[in-house]
Amino acid sequence: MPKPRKRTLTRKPAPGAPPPPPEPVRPVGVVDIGASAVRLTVADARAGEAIQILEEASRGVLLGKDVFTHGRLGAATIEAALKTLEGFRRIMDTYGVVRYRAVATSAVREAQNHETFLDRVRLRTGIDVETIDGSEENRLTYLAVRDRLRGHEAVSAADAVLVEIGGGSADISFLRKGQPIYSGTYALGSIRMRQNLASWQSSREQWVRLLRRHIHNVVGDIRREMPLREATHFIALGGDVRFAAERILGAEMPEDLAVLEKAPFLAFCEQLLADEVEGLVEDYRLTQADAETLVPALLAYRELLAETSAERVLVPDASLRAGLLLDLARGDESHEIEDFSRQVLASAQALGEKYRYDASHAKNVAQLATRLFDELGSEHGLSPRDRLLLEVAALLHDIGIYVNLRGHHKHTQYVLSVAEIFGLSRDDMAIVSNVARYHRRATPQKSHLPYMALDSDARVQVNKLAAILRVANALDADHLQKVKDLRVVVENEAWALEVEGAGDLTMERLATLARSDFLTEVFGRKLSFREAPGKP
Amino acid sequence: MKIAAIDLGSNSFHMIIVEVSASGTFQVIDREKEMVRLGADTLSSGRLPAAAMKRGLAALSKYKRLAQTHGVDKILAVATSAIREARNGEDFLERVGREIGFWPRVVSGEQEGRLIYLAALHSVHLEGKRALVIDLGGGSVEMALGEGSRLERVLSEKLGVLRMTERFVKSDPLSAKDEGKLVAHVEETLAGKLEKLREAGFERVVGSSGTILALASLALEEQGEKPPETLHHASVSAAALRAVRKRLVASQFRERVKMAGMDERRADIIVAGAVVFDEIARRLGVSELTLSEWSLREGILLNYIHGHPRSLARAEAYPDIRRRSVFDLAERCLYDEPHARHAAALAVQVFDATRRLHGLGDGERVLLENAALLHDIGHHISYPGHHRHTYYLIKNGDLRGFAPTEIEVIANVARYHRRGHPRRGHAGFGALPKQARRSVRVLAGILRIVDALDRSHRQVIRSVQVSERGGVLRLRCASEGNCDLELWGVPRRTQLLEEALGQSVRVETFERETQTGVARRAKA
Repeated sequence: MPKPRKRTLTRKPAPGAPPPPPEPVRPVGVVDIGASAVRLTVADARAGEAIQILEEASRGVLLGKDVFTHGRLGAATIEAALKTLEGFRRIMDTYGVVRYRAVATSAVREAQNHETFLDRVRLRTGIDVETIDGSEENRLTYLAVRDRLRGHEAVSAADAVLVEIGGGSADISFLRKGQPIYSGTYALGSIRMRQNLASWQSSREQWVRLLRRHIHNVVGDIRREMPLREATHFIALGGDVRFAAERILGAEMPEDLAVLEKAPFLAFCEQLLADEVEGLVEDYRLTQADAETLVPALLAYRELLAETSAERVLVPDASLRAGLLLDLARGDESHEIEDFSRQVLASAQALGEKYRYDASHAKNVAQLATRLFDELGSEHGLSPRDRLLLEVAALLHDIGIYVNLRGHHKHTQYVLSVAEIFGLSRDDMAIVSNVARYHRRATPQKSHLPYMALDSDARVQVNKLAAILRVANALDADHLQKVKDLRVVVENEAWALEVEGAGDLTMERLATLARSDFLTEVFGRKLSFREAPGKP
Repeated sequence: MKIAAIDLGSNSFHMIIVEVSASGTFQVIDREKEMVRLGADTLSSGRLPAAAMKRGLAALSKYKRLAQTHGVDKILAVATSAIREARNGEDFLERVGREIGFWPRVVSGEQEGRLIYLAALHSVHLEGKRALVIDLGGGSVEMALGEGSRLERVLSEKLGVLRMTERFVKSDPLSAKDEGKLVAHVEETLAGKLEKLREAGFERVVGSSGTILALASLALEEQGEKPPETLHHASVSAAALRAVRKRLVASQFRERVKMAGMDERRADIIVAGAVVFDEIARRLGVSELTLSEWSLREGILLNYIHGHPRSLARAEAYPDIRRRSVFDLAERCLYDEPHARHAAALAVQVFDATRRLHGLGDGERVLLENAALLHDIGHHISYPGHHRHTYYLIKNGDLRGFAPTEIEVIANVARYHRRGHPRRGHAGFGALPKQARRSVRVLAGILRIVDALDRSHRQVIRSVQVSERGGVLRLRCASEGNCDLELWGVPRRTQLLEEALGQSVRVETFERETQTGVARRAKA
């Protein structure tokens, strides 16, 4: 979601330091704490202008190795990370950075002691780090890729898969005509695969075979979730594939976008497989850490590539940090929200199809729910982002029927509470799943655990959105999409719902009146129903 | 597969019980009809009177028993205008659900029209012509116009015979004044609407519903034709129906009861029916009517059959309802069938070979087999935590033919096929009785191992032999092809079974000499 916690640095008053130059626009900074490195980019980023990179820094810190093996960050690793971040803070200060965003991904997210770690970072460096989940990572990377490949077929007319093999996991999205309709996080992280198979004492050949089998298994699961075969383009991100591109293309490698033909890429992978880690370190002047992840990562890219119909690998110079910069650069312009909504809704519809939803009912309810939301704009005080969550909940409110018609609202909640929708975080999904659950039957109760797990703001949000959804759903009680539009007229402290529709609206009228109790409870207004005059 | 379709009409409740084949054709086994008159007073007062509810519940409980006697797999029930319009209609349905055990669905007039059209389409030889289907019920009249499978428009109006009788029939024989009021009401209600149907055009007119069939039967009698055994597909002219109207309007109740072809239970409401139908037919310019005995309930059935071709095919393949609902759920979740079946086969092999150690019986064996078939279905929801999703789906996925504790055991066994061991603190597991908890430990212990034995999902390990000596359980696995991945995974999956049986578990593999293997070797 475009709700980045935009942060500002408070300068420590350094005695003798020159006062900051009076610049109208200061550079911004982004910090990415990943599984194998901590990285910084400082850039001039202004809305509507190309981003100018001023400085980039990176230091290998093997956070993932600790976490994926022991479940927590070790003291030495924490110290190394703190030192690096102190250095980064100094660099940012030199450039007069005030606005920045620092994020930590899976390694830190999964560490049992991540809160301690983040607190120490805050105390030592004054940098406030947020842990982001897989969906936010996917969204930011997607932003960067789309920007870098602007105009390319892979993000406009065709179907493509976007793959980033990280240390802890692999982030994979399927783009249909540039819209990410499926995305997910899978157990193909290079460090993690390496650690899991580390206990296997046997020959290198057997180890590689085992690794390949494991990857093959996971890819089989991915294939069931997204139509990999339909993808004609393969977009690969990550240090390991970038390294492969540099080796294959040599000095001719373009900065922005490297294109690797399938054959040389496969040949390069074969060549690496023949080598031991020590050999790789020597032959390619790699660090031990980089050499260890290279083989698992490239094998994963290779297996995924083989599942698609792509003939080449696109390696754009795009990263999480580039996405963060784009996010910082753009203002809160409404077309950005629209653009983001489109991606989220495309992904939500793909999820609906997976659960064989009644698409016409779902879309009708979503349309009526958002209309009601807009009509009640002055009364609910909710944001455009809440509107989007409502729309997603409305589209998917019935998917629990796939589990069982009886109690389907609860099944919807279960499925949504664990489902992945592009761009929506776990917190967003917690709201969506609760709103969808309350589309029928009981209203929120103290005994409902998923509801009580929300904080009080979120509970109020759920109440308002669910109240709207209940009425919107009642307006298509017949599942025949008879209601085309609606208006809300305020009359004597009550709301009159003026409905435009075709045919006999008895069912809709009765259902609406019966299910508006919650709306009345939440907004304190009675609801009446009437058909718009002047229509045959 | 046997299905019962029930139509809770305003005038009467109908049920048909059919045997459906996988190809979607069905054969009627039984038919039942009861004039409950649920709509009496309801349509005017807006409430179902207690007496009507009582009659309705009695009829439905009889239907339920009858359906059970026939061993039906599914009851499909829909409620129409009387229940739809009554303020306490939901209460009635709630009582049906709670007291009788199935949940009727309320359908709107439009949906009713669609279902009736579907029934006519599949029972009347329409020759692909544009057809108008008219169904005159107790509460409403439905008119559906379409061409072949394409339904174009539906008109549903509150002009049902029971409703019209209660409102306008105040005299017997019907006075000219009352008839005039009724005609004026029909006129007013349909103003402009029939013209649209007429403009859209149609070549055939089909009539269904008890009232229309009764009118046709009177007409055929009057023409001196002995009504055929079944009225289905018979034709009757609009002129003959007009003559019937005249005769009925002029008659007293006790005369009507005696008319040839009259069903005496209808003798009161048929007058209004004759008037309403004739008025509609005249305005539409209908000259001839083809009769259809198929109506709403057949439509309900066809609608179900078209929506569930797979479940019908499954019903044919698995006559046992337990198996059927297990495969139904598995297929809905797009399971990896070879892996699931293989895991189930290996699981029962290990179960049978260790019977002396665990002492569990055939009942548990069935639970294990089904848990193995379903253990991975949670993938469909999401890969991370899929064992928990599996648990949820099994618990809520409508498995039939199992007792609640049996479902809980299947769900738990499947849930513990990976990750954490069973713990009392886990809600589902902790709530089981002690004996069942032990079963879960043993069965999940077996499932964990056999799942790992097919880690690559390629069925490399073909069979397992089990021997036990001195506290060591030895699993000798016959493999075909490379089984590195399996051997790597298994040692981390044995602990639960070891604890449950108090044995240590060793797994070894040997290459099986298959016929193809021998052939390959010979060639080389």
